[in-house]
Amino acid sequence: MTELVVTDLTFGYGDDPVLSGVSFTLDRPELVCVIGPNGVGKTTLVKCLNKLLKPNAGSVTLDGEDVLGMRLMDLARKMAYVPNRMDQVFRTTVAETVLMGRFPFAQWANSDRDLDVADRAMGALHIQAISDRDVSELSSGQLQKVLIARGLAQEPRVLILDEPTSNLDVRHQMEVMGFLRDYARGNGIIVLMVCHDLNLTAAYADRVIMVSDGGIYADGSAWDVMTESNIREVYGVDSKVIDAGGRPHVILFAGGGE
Amino acid sequence: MDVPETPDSDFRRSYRRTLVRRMAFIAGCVVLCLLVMAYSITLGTYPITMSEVYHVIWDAILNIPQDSTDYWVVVDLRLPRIIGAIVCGFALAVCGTAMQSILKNPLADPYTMGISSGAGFGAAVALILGVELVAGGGVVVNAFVFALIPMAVILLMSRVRRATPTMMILCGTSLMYMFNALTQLFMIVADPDDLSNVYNWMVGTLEHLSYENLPLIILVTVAGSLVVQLMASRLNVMGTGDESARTLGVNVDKERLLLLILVTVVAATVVSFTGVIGFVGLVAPHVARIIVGSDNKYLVPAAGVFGALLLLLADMASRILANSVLPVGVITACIGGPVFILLILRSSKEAWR
Repeated sequence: MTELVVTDLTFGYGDDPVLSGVSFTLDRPELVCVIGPNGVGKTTLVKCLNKLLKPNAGSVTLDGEDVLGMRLMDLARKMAYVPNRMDQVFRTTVAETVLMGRFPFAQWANSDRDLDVADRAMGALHIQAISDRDVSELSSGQLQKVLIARGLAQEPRVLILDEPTSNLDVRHQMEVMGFLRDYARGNGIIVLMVCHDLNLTAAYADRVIMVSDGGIYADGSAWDVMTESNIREVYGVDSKVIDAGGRPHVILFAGGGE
Repeated sequence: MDVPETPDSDFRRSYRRTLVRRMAFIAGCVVLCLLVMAYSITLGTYPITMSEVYHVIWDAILNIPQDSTDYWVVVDLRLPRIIGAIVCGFALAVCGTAMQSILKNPLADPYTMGISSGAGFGAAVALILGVELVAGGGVVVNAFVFALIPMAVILLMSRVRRATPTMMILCGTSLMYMFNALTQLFMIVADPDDLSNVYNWMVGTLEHLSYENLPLIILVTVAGSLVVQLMASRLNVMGTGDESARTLGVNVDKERLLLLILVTVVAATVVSFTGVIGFVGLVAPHVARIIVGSDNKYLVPAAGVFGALLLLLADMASRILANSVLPVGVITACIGGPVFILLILRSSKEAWR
């Protein structure tokens, strides 16, 4: 099983630290959600893992190999990143976009296997029927699925997603979360995502990392992390956590108080 | 992944269909190029019939020594110009395609990046002030060196801070204005003979192409286009955005600059010999993109052959319409502009946003 170890990660812009001394280990095939209020460094944290940002101190290792010292191309064969939007200027089809996930393996021509992998990635997300549509014409839900399929086409050991559900309606949110959880378990990979929605996280995450003020505030199962006191401390809001079919469910109170 | 293999899925079928369409466009342009070439060589002011033209060419191919005006007109006068149109059209279109993809901007081409204006300024310095950067290098060396200045400025800028595509194109465009203004200034003080030379140069012409300079242009074009072709998938990945490209294994900041330097050198080489032939570098990629799509693996060769065809047609038109008096640059812009606008209006699918 793949092992991603983060040790004493520190990152800051100038003298302004965003993350300090963050450590955790991911070594099980599961869906891990990073939650926390705006501006605490959730996205910064995941971007430090795949060299999108260069940490000031600390280390990230993937199966014992130092990630920060790896070539981008080697890293892309092991770790995929799903952005939450795409800034494409020229017309690009869904199939072309998904096939780009094969780029780390085939820099020149696409082999039959590349086409197979892309085909299966599209099949897994049920987007084969729109394979020759222009990505700019898609709804945000469809586009998110295309970008996830591109990530899967990289056949990564670690899949990192930045708020993949932020622009989706409830049904698509649940579909994507359920898919990612099952995919992680079924294919033995680590799926790490930044998530804003407490209840989606509570319903689907195998593990929750709660970030607050540049550090990890709580780390564990949804029941362990998503408690009324943690939510009050980190988000500054009052809530009640109830049991909804075996998973925690957070009910927020308006007006902030008893 | 647990989904069964589906060799004949919708995706596979549409992938093959697209491939056929792309190949058909490229092959069609190549065939048209050959036809136009074959016809174009029979045109000119010197009275010589079609059969005589081909007789001369046939003898030349068989290496039969010839010593006639016919031979001189066909082989030394018309042929280099036609070969030049193909090579320069191809090179400018490939450069335009690469620049548009690298900078993610539909307006990027050797002109808006300041390369052509730089070359024009360099030529004006040689023709009007009589200053040669390299003794004996003349207009060509001056033009080449000044054509590289916008790229040098972009490079310097990227040392100070991270150069984004938008910054690069704005930088190129500002230098374009500066060079144009300075050239205008020179033209005010120039005497009439120099003025007409500079003017000729500013609108672009294939007249100066000969067997002496063509080998260099061909070499640079072929080498540059091959590298761009090999980097085509990289260009695709770069088009998805900088962060996304990094996570797909491309060191965007470094490779963007390297590719830009490469195409700048190719474009600068061409315009140093022909002057400012506008529009081919801008239009050919867009027309090709409407038909073959944005995948640079196919777009680069498709735009290249279309650019070659475009310049070949423009050169032919200039010879039919005005006995070569009209510079080819004027024709590409005058005919290319309206046709392009029409194409933009009529294309059902948007090739760009």
